[in-house]
Amino acid sequence: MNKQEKEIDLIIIGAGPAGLTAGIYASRANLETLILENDIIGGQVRSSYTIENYPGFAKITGVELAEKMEAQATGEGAVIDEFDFIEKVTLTDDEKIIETGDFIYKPRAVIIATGAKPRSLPIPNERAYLGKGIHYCAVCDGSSYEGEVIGVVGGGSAALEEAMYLARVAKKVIIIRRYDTFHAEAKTLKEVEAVPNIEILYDHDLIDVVGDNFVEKALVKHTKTDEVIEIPLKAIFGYIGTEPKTDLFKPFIQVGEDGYIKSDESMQTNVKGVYVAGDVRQKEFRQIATAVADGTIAALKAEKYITENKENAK
Amino acid sequence: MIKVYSVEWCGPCQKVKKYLDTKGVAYEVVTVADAQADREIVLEVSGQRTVPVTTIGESVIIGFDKQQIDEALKSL
Repeated sequence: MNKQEKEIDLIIIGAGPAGLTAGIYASRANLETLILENDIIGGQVRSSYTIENYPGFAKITGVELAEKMEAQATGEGAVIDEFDFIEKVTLTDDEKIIETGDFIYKPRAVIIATGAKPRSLPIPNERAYLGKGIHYCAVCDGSSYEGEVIGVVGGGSAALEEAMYLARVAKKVIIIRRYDTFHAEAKTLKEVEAVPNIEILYDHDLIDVVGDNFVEKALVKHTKTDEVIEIPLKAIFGYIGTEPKTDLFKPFIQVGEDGYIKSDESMQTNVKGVYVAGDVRQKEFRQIATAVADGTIAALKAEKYITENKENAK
Repeated sequence: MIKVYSVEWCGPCQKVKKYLDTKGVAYEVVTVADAQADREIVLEVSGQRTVPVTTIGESVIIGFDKQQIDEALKSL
């Protein structure tokens, strides 16, 4: 079957906060805008239990914020396709082709906002116990462990927020932290410390899990004394950071040593007319607010690029 | 018979349901957060505890996997 070719102003790859914001701005600028999302609309926000640091919402669930952003983007005219997956891309100064399962798109500009995915726990039995006690989505799988002891690994806001969610269903939550501090917000740490059934195990590193087909124990090592202890528990939820989703673009788009896409302050990548926004971009802080800022800039720059190209072509 | 074992807030669960809607097929939603017995069924049918789990005929699909869903629907 020959795929239909479609010319379009702008394709945004990724429908997290960066991509949806870019979609809002681009649509309001009358650009014909398609947002492609292989994974979940709303991105990592969609899987977060609550958000307390996005201005305008003192406290909002991740689902609600994601749905509001999605509704705003589609309300402005952006089209989101979450079922037609990208198969390959060509991104050069002169030619931009996004081939999906159904179409060959020829966009005038592209914004890469694929975001990042949770980093897998670096333990030998990770794959063997995936879904059998090793998990990465508390709101999805937490309820399977009602009344049980659950471990959470990580040191950022995500680890602490999700630990608080899990503490509502679990008998006890043990946060396993390699260092003696967290890099989460101080306010969130205080909230965690006030939850009676959360215990924080500082200076301990998860080294593996064991059990008969399902996780029954975590093996953790004291990072200063090297002493290994066994903790009986039924699940470990991993929040040890993220890794960028860049595999599709690497032949064309420059990434840094850390794997994130390089850009200048105007979100421009090494390819003209290709912009990057959100967590997939090389930068210091990855927050919803910074993703939204990136998406705004990328869309405004894309609009300028498209308009200039159209005028030059006249 | 198609069943989607899921919880209300989970993104991949919503995506499975939306995809089945686009295919125009009827399915039953089992909300597993509500009862221990249903969660045990997830374990029984899929051998693990992550949702969504979708059963289409004899096929058991863990997570959102478009290709697997398409193939399973063809075999109905």
